[in-house]
Amino acid sequence: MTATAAAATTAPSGPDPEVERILAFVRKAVTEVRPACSQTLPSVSLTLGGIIQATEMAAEKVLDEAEVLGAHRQRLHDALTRLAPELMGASAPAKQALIDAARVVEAMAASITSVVAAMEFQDLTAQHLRATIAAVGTMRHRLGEVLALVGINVDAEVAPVKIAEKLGAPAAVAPWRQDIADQLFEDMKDTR
Amino acid sequence: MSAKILIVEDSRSMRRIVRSALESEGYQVAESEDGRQALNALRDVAPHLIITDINMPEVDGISLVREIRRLPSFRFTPVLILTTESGDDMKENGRAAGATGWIVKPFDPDQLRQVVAHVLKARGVA
Repeated sequence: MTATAAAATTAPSGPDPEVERILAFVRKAVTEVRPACSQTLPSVSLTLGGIIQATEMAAEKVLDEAEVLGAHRQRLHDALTRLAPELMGASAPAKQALIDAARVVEAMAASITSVVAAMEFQDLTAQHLRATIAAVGTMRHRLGEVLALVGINVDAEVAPVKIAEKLGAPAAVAPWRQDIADQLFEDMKDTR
Repeated sequence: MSAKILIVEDSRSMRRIVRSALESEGYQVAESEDGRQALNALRDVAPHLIITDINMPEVDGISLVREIRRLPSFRFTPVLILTTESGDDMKENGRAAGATGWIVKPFDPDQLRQVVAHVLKARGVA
């Protein structure tokens, strides 16, 4: 072996470019994942939970109104039933008007039933959203474990959820909108 | 005497929808929010038929059916599962637990009423 060859095999080698590339990728990935784990995913869960609440309230309101409408329809039906004998000797147009009114009352019953049945969407939507919230929670937990491997404790560094941009979103309606407004105050404390 | 039906469902809006579909047919309807509450209510309500969801807090629908089948007074009370679950495995679990029938949400109120009438007739309840 020549002296030159011996020096080449014993001299410390420089950093492996491939390892350096992978480390740079991991550092970048951790930098990006950390805020997602500490802020974005909790924010997603909060928002989806709020949507569930909002749709529940909307469905309840529709069902309340459908019940009121049903009671009105019943009163109208009863009134027409009482009126019918009084119109026995009435003119043909008056009798026809009574028949038309009775038909409309029956049609209202079918429409009310359809409206009530359509509110089933709320339960279906809520179940899908709850499954999504659970999946997001699991994902955050796993990400937290991965970050813990590289010495980052996500739970200890959780920042207040930044959700100001959601205030203008169509889904941000009462009453959970107030929760968001309160949370916004909390967020702003950090920037004062 | 109209038949008494117990609805077991954690969603309030869904309970109201099922109640509306059944009361329009003249059935008496009672409600429970989950399986545990339903088990506690069984003796008071003494339903002719039970309609239950599967995914509920506390005691889920499949466990509820198993518990009901252990109670001598309700061993033969029909139990219909009303759920978003439609997988064959889940249906088999329900059947094995002792469920009478399986209706997948979203449900058609007319279909529900037909199934209820059929099951009650088979049990000799008008």
